[in-house]
Amino acid sequence: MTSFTDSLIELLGGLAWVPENAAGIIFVTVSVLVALPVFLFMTLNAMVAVYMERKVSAFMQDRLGPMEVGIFGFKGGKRFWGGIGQTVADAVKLLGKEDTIPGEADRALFIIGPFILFGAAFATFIGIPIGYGLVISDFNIGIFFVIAISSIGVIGVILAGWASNNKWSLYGAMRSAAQMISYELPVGMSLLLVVMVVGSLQFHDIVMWQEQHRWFLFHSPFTALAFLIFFASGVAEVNRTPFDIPEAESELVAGYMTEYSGFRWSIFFLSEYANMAIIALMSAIIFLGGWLSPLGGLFRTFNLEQSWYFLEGPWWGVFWISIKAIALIFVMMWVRWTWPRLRPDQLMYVAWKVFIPFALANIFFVGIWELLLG
Amino acid sequence: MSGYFRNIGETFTSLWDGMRVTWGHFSNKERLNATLQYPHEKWPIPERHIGFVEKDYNVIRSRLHVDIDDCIGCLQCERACPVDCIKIETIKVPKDVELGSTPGSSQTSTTSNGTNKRLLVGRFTIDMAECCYCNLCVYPCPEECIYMVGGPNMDKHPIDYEFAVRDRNGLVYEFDTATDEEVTQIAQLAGVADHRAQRTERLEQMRQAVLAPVPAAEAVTNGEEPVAAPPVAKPKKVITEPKMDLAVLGAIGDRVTRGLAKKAAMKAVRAGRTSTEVAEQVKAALEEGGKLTPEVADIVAGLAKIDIQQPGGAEEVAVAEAGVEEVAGADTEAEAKRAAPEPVADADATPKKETAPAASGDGGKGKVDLTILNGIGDRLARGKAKAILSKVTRQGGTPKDAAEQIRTALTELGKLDDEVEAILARLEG
Amino acid sequence: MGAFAFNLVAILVVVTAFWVVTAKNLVHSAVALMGTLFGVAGLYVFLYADFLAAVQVVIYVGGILVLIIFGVMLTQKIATAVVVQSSMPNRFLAGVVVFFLFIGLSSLMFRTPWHRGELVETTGTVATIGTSLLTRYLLHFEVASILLLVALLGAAYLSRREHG
Repeated sequence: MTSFTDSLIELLGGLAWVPENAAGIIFVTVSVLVALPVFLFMTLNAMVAVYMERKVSAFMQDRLGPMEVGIFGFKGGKRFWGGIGQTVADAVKLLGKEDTIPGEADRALFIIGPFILFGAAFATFIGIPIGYGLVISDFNIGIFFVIAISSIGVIGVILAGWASNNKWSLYGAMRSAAQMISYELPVGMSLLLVVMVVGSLQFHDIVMWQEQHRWFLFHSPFTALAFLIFFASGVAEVNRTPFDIPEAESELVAGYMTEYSGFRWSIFFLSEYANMAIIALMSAIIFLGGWLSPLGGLFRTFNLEQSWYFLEGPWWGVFWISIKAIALIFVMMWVRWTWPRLRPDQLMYVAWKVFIPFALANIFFVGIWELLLG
Repeated sequence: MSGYFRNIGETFTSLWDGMRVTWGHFSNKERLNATLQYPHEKWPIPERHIGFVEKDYNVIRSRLHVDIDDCIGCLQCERACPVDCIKIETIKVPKDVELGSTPGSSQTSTTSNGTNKRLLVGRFTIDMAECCYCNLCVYPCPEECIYMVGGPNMDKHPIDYEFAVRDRNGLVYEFDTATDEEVTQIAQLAGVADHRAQRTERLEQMRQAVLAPVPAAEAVTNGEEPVAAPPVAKPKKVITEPKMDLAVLGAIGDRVTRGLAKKAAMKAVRAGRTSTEVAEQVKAALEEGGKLTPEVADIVAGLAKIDIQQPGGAEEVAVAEAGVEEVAGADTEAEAKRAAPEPVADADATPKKETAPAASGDGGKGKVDLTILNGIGDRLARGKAKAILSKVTRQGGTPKDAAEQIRTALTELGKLDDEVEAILARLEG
Repeated sequence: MGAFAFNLVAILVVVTAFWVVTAKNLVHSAVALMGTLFGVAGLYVFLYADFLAAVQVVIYVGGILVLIIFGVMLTQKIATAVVVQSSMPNRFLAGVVVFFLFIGLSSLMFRTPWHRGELVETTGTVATIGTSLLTRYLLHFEVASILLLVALLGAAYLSRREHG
């Protein structure tokens, strides 16, 4: 099992012109080279996802969404998919905006806040594979690493809300923190049952298990339920509708983001969409067979050994995982533009009285299932 | 406990219902899409609710349009416009030249009604940003070539869909089709040395008119001059042919008779006759037309008393007013300088016109200067005084008579004080 | 390369720990504490205790630190109050105590015969930890969970508003 980082270190260490004992140089170089694709991925993801979000919401509301802005004169399709340059234009506008800091704000924390959130999202990507061996760094504790790092984000949110010195921001931050901490539990518990079945925390092992057996979604009714709980809690952790009470435009303006503008606000935005992608990718890897082809099982029954026939292989893997992740992101958007926002007490009710008991029961039943049928 | 599970079950079913609805919209976007991509596509022009009958026609949704090929440059619409949003410039085409005769000309020689066009319309612009949609310019047009688009005029010009422009200047619609070359050519033929200079001069005059102080409200217009003259600062016209005040003839009741009489009188005046000769010729003409009644004969005889202004003199065309004497005086000086080679002519022309009792019942057009009475402070007294003054003047009374009558009337009212007395004394003087 | 990364993490821990102590604002201290806790998690990684590192992040950074910040933020006066550290006698006393503590710790560090084992690369500690927790240390594990349960129930009882 190799990872991007390992390969890079090996490559740099083996080069003749790299001096001996230049650990520092290699460290810095590798860090930069590793960070760059992650950052590019996050940016690209945000741009595409924003465009998609606008289009999906528009279509669900019988509108057209952005239709005018193009890139290099190319607007995209004529009838529905025009305006592909809209998010680029928006990003440029956003970066050109004045970056304001409220006079009464806590300057240091106000500045640090978004970067903690961003850092959490950024670091999470390091552990998530997007294909066989296509991972920045392969951890033994893969899933656990992702959960651990993503739990840091909440600090950024709280700090941003508190440092803004604005009551709406503080409300938003408190709600957000309560929500994120509450929903971490169902997320962890639904993942626990997968870990229990596979016996490993590594993403690769989980996908291998699914390759040898079946997708976790179809493992048992309980894992299907666990998938639902995981996905819903994930949506809640990303603070998206119907769980978006921390932002709640209609009551809290924009929650903890109220006082932010320009570049710092775009950092929040970037992190939010990155978190969306993280949830979608994790769901795809853990419950939907990751980079496995959905046709794989079908063709294998006919003893077609040529992997080409059922579209498997490293690059097809990237394709399949992207398809699954995009489908899940689409579901998130679909949900967002369908359901109204929950009340805070309803939100807590759902987490503590529905998701957590069911997730606990799931663990128990999956254990029995494995004992009897496994 | 069963409530708990029912709650969860209901949650799922209602959520599913909601998502089915949005999916229905998402997948039927082509059919359900409500957005019209406005600049690229437009709704069809609404054919109803604009009104096809004149009385229903809501011109506010419309705009003015001119079929410039039918325009004879009569300036009627420009004069009718209360906000001066129509601007027309014309050049008289010489008699021996036919409009549109040159190859490649954009002009036509006749309108669609068959009227000969004797004027080249070098400029015809309508500023729709200024237009007040009063529709007043539409009625005087003899060729019916200016109209509000759409509605009853749908077959001439469809209604403008959005009537939107990117720049305010875009609302100035230019209808003239004459090219610069054509204008220059016609101007040369017409003997106008430099039509551009002429236009510049006119624009300058208009600018002056805007800058000049506006006179008091009761402006009494000269009977001869058409309405649209700017209130002040119109330059003195150098008279090139003999002229006569034919306002007397306005008393003739019958329209045809009046027309005949005026025509004959003009002809005679141009021919250089004296007043008496003019009166005789008019009489002869009327006799010929079988319109001479004793009544008319009396009126025509009045012509013999009127002076004919000979060429070379300058005539005060604009209204100068005694009440604003200072201003008017200043203006006159300025105009005199501007006006011309000739020194300012008969200085008594103006007072004569104003104070002389305009001969006969001129339909309220007698020249009465009421502004002198503006100094009266009491509103009631002022109104009464003005009413009496104008009445007396119309009946041919002198200011003295008027002052007498005003005095009696105001005494009755108990409004006669020293102030009023002083003003009346001025009126008498 | 390991040494380089270790130095970075060590510097992070020391600097942020210093900030925790010197910061005048409690929320700033809490933020600095995050760096410290993170650094400690990094140190665990160098000890091949990856699971422990993740636990450190989840529990200390994601849980306890958030609780601290919450407590500080919601306690109205504390967040804005400047912690007084300027009283002379206090400073003097603290200086004396810290000095002797420093002497004691250093002497301890230099006198201890550190056992240097050879570097063994392990592959994952998760399985070992799991097995130990559910076999050899089962009693401790269960006692700890009962303790936490009791704490949970107690908190719920205290925060619940009884009527009548």
